[in-house]
Amino acid sequence: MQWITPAISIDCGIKLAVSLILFVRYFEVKEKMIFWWAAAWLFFGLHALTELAIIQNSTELLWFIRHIFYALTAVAFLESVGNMRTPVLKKWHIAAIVITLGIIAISYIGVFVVGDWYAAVVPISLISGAGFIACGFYFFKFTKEKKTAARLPILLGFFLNGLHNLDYPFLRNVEWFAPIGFGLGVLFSLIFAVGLTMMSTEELKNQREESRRRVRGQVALTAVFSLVSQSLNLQEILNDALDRMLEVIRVDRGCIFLLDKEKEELNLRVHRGFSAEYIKSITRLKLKEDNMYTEVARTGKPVIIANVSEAPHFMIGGTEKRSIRSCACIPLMSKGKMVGVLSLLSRGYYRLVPEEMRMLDSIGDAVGVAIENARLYETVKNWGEKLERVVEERTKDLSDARKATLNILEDIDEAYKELTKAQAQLVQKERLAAIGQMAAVMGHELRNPLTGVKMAAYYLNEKLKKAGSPLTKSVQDIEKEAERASVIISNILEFSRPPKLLLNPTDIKVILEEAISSAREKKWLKGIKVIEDFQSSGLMVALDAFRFRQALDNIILNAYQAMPAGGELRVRAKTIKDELEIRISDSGGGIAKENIKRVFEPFFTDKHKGVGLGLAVVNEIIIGHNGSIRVESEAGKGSTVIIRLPIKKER
Amino acid sequence: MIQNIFFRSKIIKKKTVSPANAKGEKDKCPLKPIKILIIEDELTTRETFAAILKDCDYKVETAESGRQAVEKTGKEFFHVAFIDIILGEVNGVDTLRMIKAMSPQTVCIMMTAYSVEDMINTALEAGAATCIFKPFDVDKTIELIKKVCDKTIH
Repeated sequence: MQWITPAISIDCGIKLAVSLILFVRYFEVKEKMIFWWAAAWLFFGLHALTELAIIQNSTELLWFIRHIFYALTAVAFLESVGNMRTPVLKKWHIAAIVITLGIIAISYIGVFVVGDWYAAVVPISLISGAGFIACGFYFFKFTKEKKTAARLPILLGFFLNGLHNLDYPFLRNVEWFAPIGFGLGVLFSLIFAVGLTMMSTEELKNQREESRRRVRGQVALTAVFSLVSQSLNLQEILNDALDRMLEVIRVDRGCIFLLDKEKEELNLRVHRGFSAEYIKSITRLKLKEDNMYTEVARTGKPVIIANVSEAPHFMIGGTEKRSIRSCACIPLMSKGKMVGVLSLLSRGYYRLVPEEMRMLDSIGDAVGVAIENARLYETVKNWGEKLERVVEERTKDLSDARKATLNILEDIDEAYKELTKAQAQLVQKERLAAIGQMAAVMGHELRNPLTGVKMAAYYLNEKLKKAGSPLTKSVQDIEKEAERASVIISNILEFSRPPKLLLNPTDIKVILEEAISSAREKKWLKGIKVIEDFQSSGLMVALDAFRFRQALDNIILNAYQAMPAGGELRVRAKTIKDELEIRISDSGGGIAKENIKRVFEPFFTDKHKGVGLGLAVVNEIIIGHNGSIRVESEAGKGSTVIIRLPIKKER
Repeated sequence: MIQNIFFRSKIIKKKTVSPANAKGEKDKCPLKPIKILIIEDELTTRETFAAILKDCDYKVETAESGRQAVEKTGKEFFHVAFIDIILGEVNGVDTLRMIKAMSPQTVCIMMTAYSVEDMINTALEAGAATCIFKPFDVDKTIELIKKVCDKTIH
């Protein structure tokens, strides 16, 4: 068999050359799959090289080395096909290990234990051949989508090489078959090599295309970002963003939905390349529905489908369904909130590269922010327009008024005053909240030293009284003022802590009488004639007796302070329909007209003493009883406080 | 609890006792020396309150902490104890519990400057007779002492 050496030499040469080409490709493309192809062909070549050595000198060790190279070839092919899937499936690795160990074991037993290389080479060839065929089968499965020219030769390469391994038992034993078998082996390798070279070249081209896509993506991203920062027109932004995306990703269809949170639905805002029927079916999508768009809106995670047959339940629409192959739906987010969904669909197979995914993410975020901005702007614009209309109307009114009368100046003055007042009230409210908290702390703290003061004054008073000292008056003053301070603190505390009322049916007559007799005890009614006029005696009203007494005390105290020179206090109570009306009138100096409205404001006082919380507290208490309170007054003729409380009919 | 409502307010008074009447009775010496313990961490209040009550012929002891109060309760019986709710290390409610455990007959009256409703309620549940709010009226407090003593002695 003189021809066998040149045949194997050619085979070896081809294999090593292919390995070299593939390694070169690998260094350019950095694709793992190509690395394993290259490795497989390197082992393939080394296996042939060892055969050349065996022809010269057939030893057990060389046979063993040849088998190991063959095993490595099979393993490398397995790895390469496994790497077509990312991430690499665990079963590929397990299969690779099993095959390697199995082949090495068989080889060891065959060559060293039995001492017959032929006992090893046949099973090894069979196993490797089966491995090639399995690889071919999976290669066919994984590359279904890639209809490339290289696919067929590679497939043939796998299958033919696998089948060729099965003829090994006849290669050396059947005289006439040997040259044919070797010839076929070389031919098959050649077909295989051509396919792999083609595919790795394609891969290189693809990668160049991808890097171009990446650059285009960057450009598009910049464009979208600049658009976002420039435009506030929502429709314009959406149109432009979609066009840019389609340009970059080079797919034929796309659409953008905005999320309507209240109605829980997605509204189609812009679309490209769809049939009218399809557009109709996706114009409004309820979030409850189950399709790829709502899935994204619900979960906030992108849905990327390379092949719709993998996720048929996500598809929507009749005729369109069949013509869409790949799709990518990404959420549009703004400050972590879902605002819409952007979707790109392709008629053909389209696999997004990681850079494209990242770019889609970024664009999604940018568009999301733009949508939010535009929405805010629209809100502001609407408000602005409303305001403009109001201003216009007012201006018109004003000019009419000016024409009609000069009173306009007064109006403006009034409006200005109202405004100032409103502002002052606002400031007051803010201040009150802060004061309230501070007052609560301070009030409580002050009560302790005040207890000491009061007690010491009491003690001193007793001692001085016994000694007959004329200083008792001053000490009593200290006591009295301490008491006053304690009342002020109580008022402030009441105000800083809105009262919690405990309403119990209470006889209104009893509580009014108690208030009057207590005022008498405090010497508030000295020189004042009290007229009691309780028509509703015995009437039970739901009251917090303690708080209500506090309110009455405050009102009577005010009356007393309004009549320093004595006068008349009239307390009336009567039922009007289902309300109880209590009128407490004094014959004092009355309240100036401009102050009547303000008497219930906290910290308002016209007495030049006190903090002005008395009536504010009263107001709080009455409101707490679901009642109402107002003041009628005429300067010089005294004032009347009118309280109305609802009466609940006894069941 | 009725007493509690009355003494919440400095304004509401018990109608049957007029201030003049109260002052008249106050100067009378009680039948037996009544022992009062004042537990209060504010020096001025404690000492002055004690001086006032001594003038009314009560036997008065003071304590500035719950611990001291418990020590004194262990040595002798007090008819009445005034306990400040906010005390230093051992609070008023715990002090009350300890005193009540050692001497259940002692009438305990809580004092407070703060609106610590929870603690007041706990104290009342734990056996306090009532709670008076600082700054309290001394006359009325003496009246209160008399009333509780009448109940306990007779």
